[in-house]
Amino acid sequence: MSLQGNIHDMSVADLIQHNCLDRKKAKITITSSQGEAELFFRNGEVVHASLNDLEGEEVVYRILAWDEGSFTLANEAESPKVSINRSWSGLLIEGARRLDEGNLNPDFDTTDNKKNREVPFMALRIDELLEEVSAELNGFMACAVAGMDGLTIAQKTKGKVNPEQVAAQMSVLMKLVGANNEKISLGTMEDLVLQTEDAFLMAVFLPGDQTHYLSVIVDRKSGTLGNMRLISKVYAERIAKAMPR
Amino acid sequence: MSKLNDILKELRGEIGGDVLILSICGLDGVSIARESTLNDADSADQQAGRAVMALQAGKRVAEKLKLGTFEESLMTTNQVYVMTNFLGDGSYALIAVLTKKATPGTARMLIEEYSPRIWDVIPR
Repeated sequence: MSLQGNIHDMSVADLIQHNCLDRKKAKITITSSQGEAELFFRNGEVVHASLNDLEGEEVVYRILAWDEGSFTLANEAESPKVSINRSWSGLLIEGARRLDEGNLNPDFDTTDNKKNREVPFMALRIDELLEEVSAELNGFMACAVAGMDGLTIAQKTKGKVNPEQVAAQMSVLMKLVGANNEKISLGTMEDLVLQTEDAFLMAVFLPGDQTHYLSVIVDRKSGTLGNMRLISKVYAERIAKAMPR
Repeated sequence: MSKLNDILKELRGEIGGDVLILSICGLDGVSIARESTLNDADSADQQAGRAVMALQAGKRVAEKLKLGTFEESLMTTNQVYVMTNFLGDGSYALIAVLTKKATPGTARMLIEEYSPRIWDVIPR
């Protein structure tokens, strides 16, 4: 069975994600003004990619920037070789990072295309960073990236804490504390830590941005306050870099 | 009250030259004892009062999130550290404003150590 479509309607990132989640053996041929690229899928991963004389991961990063062209999907197509060992999510994240940093060949990247892809890639990247935060912290309970409007952009939780509720509460608290600081000239707030009987709760503003923050909650018994402050600050910087401005 | 002021002086001596304000406030935000390097006493009291306001808001957050009894907070700004701790039964709080040269971990430990002594000498 084959399927045809336009990558204006279904992006390359979506095609990769859908095929990998399907875990079917398949080949996608994408034809655009930049050339004809082939992607081969097996066992839920991209195993090979080629574009003109290029093969491997680089091809994926290049075609992620395409916003015009058509594709054909052919099921049960056997890959002639294996040129990619990275996981499909790793490919998308690295592709997003390169797009963010403008590392792609300008011939293959357009401003419109970059703008269109910023939001899904940003979400993937931030989710990945929050996953890392959860792995770095002993006693991790929850973390979220939220705006001062109290709404979360991304969140991760283990257990009973609801990150959306945390964001709503912390935003109110940070607004109050920020207003207090202004009135009594204590400077611009960078972070706030609350210690309760059961947990440490920290909110740290993303660098250069007083409108979004990373909040982290760790269990008091197994977590360490210093480690939480350190990790929160390190990841606030990384998250800030992953967010479009 | 002189005992309370003596203990605050002692605590200030232990924390070192980075203390800007040490203040004991009731939950009404009124200071009952203060040790400050600021020339303006009103300003010190105002800062302590506002810190208590934030502390009470923090307490409400902890309650709503069901994270157990709220104990203390540490805020970092680009200029200072502000540490607030409930004392005893929670009817008073110790507020410490420190310069960014301070070591908040050490100050936190010292405040924890002095808190029971301070609570003991608050007239009730």
